[in-house]
Amino acid sequence: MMHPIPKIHPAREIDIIGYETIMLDSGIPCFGFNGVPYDIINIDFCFDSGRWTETKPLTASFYSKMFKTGTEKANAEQLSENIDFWGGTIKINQGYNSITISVYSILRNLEPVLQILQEIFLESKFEQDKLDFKKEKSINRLNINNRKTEFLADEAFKKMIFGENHPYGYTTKKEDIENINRNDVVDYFKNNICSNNLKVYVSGKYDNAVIKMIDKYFPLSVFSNPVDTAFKYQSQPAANKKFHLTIPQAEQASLIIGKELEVPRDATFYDFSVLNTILGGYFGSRLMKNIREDKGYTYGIHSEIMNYKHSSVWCISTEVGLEYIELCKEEIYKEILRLKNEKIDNQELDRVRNYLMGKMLRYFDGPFNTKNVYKTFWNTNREIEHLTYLINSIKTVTSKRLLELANSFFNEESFYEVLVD
Amino acid sequence: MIEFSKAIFKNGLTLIHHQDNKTPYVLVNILYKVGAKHESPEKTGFAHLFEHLMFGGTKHFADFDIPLQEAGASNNAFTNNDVTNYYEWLPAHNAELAFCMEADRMINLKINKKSLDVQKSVVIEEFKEHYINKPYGDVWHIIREMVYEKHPYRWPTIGMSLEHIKQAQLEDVKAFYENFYTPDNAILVVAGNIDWDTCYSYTEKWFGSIEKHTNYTPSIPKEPIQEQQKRKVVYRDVPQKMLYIVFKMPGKGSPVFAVADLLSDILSMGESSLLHKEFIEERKIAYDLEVYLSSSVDIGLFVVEVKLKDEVIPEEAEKLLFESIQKAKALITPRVLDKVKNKSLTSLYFSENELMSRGVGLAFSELMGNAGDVNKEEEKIMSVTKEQIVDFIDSYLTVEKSNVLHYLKNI
Repeated sequence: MMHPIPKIHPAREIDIIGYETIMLDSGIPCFGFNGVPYDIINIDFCFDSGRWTETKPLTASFYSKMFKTGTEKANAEQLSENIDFWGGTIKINQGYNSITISVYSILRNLEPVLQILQEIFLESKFEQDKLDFKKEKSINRLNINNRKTEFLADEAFKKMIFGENHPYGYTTKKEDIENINRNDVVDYFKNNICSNNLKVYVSGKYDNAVIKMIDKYFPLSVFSNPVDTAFKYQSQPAANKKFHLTIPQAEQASLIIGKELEVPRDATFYDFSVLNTILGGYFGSRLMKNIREDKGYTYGIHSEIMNYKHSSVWCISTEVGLEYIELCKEEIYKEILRLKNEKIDNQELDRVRNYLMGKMLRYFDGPFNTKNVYKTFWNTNREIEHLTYLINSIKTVTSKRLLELANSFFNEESFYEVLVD
Repeated sequence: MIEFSKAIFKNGLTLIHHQDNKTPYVLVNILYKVGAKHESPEKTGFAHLFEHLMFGGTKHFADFDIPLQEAGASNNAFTNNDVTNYYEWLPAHNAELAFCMEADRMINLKINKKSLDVQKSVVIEEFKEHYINKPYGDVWHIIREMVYEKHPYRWPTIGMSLEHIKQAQLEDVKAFYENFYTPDNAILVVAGNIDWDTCYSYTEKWFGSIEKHTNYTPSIPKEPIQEQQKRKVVYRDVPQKMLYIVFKMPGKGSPVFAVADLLSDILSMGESSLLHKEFIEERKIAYDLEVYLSSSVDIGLFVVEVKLKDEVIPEEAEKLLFESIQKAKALITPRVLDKVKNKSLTSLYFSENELMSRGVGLAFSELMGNAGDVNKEEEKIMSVTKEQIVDFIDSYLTVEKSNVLHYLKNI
C-alpha cells in the first residue's frame, strides 16, 4: 500500500536580494554581489551600446570579433597565452543594446588578468590582416547558417517586425560583411567603449583589494568619449504579414508566429507574461501539451517574450515535420482562440503561479544568478522594482484579466507569420 | 571539497546525499545505469525513446509533470550512450514529492500505445531537428559507425536510423522497463537544502519497499584493438569541407583520461594552442579547429575536427595534422603544461560552485566506482606530467590507429 502522497506546500515569499553599491574612485557605477564558497570571481564591464549605437551594420559585431586580436605589446596568440596562463577567461558578448566584457578568474590570479584587460583596452591595434580573416570566417559562417531553416526564420521574423534599417531587424548580409573596414572598428571602439556608458558588476568572492584593482586598472581617463544611446529608431514593420521561404534541402520546417508588444512595461506587461507562460512558456503549457505531447507534430514548441531595451516581441516558434505544418498551425490558432473564449480554470492558473514562483527562487540563488537578474533588468530599461510587479502579477492576476488580455493582444490580423521549409 | 554521505539500501538502491544550505532548492537526481550501449543493434535509439516515455504518467500520477509544476519544480532528463539521468529541481519545502514520484515511476510506470505512438513521432522530429535538417547533422552517425567495430558505441543515442524508432513495439518497451528500471540499477543523488536524516527517511519511505528484480545486463562486446588506419570520404550538400581524425582511447575511469584532456587543451584551447597557431595563424588553412574527447565510460574517442578553407586539399591538411601531433611532444614546456592546468582548475572551481554539477558529478563518480572520486579531480589534473602526455601520443595517436573522415562538398 502506498503512503499518502506528500502534500504540496504553496510557494514561499521570494527574498529579493540586494546589491552592494561600490564607490569607485573613477565614479563609474559598480555593483557588488558577494558570497560563494570558492575563491572565484566574475567581473562584467557592461557598456550601453551594442547594435543600437552602430553607425554602420555589423560594426558592433566586428569590434567584438577584433577585441582580442592583438595589442602593441602582444599579438593575439600572446594575449591568449597570457590570459590562459593565469587560468583566466576574458569574453566579449555583443547584444542589441550592450557590449559586455566578462572576466572570470580565481581570486589569487585576478590582478594579472585585469592587467591584460587594461592592455587590450588601451593598446589594441585592430590589424588589417586579422580583420580580413574575421571577415572571411564570418562569410563562411553565414553560408552555413543560410542552410538552417531555424536561422533563416528567425532573421526573417525580426526583419518583418522591425524593418531592415532597424538595429533589431537587420539581417546579416555578405555585402555588409565585405564592407566593414578597419576604421569602422576603430570608430566603434572609440565612440562606444567609454566610461560614461559603463556599469561594472562584481560577483563571487571579492574584497577591498579587488575593488582597488578595478580602480587601478580602469581609471576614468581611459575611456571618456561621450556616446549617444538615446532612442532614435522606430520600427518599420513589413506591410505583408506573411513570409514564406523554401530552401531545397529542408527536411523540417521552421515556423514563427508573433508580433511586437506595444505595451508599457507596467502591470499589464507582467500579467501578459503569465498568459504567455500558460500558452507556451513551460513544459506543461497548452501548446506543448497539445502539439507535442498529444499530437507528436514537433520536438518542441514555445511561446516567449523577447525583451529588448526599447521594445518587446512576443512569438511562438517551432520546428515541425513537413507533413504537419498545416495541422500544427491549425492547433496553434485553436489554442489562441481558446484563451480568447474560455476562462482559464483555477487549477491551471494556480499551477502556473506555483511553477513561476518556484522558478523565481532561482533568480536569487547565489551571487552569480542575482547579478544576472539585475543586469538583465537594467539592460532592458527596467528597475528592479519591476520584479515586484512580476511577483504581484504571478500571485494575483485573475482569469478574468487574462481573458481580457488574450482578447486585446491575440488579434490574429496583427500577427506576423514566417515559414521556412 | 564536496562533502557527502552514502547508503546502500536492501534492494540495492544507492543513495548519495550532499547538503548545501545556501540554496533554497533540493536537487533530486536519479541515474539509471542504462544507455544506448545496452540496446540491440536492430533496435537502436531505444534508451532515449524510453526516457521520453518516463514522462507519460504513473499509477498514482496520471500526469508526471503537473504535480511537480504545482510544487514549483523544474524537471528534465537526458540519455547518453552509458546512462539515463532524471532530475527534479524543487523548492526545499516540497522535496519529498520528488522522492515519491521518482519511486512511483521506478515501479508503476504506465505504458500505453497512445503514449508510445506520440513519443515515437516526437523523437522522429527531434532526430530530424538535430541530425538531418542541419548541415553536418549526420557526422556522428558516420564517425561512430566507422570507428567502432564491435562496441555498441557504434550508434548515437538518438538511434541509428529513423526506421528503428518507427519500429519500436509496446512489448519491447515493457521488457526494457522491467529489466533496467530497478532499484539496484539506480543511483539516487539528493543535493541541496536538506539534511541527511530527512533525506534518508524519505528514501526509505518511498523506495524502501520496491523489490529488487531480475536485472539482466547484456554483455557488451569488447572493441578490438585497431591495427590499421580506416578512411572514409563523404559528399554532402554543405558549404564547406571538414576533416575529422578520430582515435580510440580509454574511458573516463582510466588514469590517462586526465592526460588526454590536458593534451586536447594544449592542442586546441585558445589562440595560443599548438594546432590553432599552426593551422589558423601561420599556415592559414583552417577557419577553426577543435580537439575534444567523447568522455564515455568505455572505450572513448579523441577527436580532431578541422574546418578547412576551400582551396585546401584535405589529404595535405591531414598529413600536416599527423606531423603536428608528433611535433607537439617537443613543444610541451613546463609553462605550456602549467597554462592548461591553471585553466582546467579555474573551470573546475566555477563548475563546482553549481549545485547541479556537484550532484551530477557525484552520480557519475559513483557510477565509475566511487562517489568520493569527485574530489580527486584537482589532484588528477595537477599530477599530469609531460612524460605521460608524450606516452599518450605514442600509444594512441598514431597513423595506424586513426580514423579519417573527409566530409566534402558535393561536386
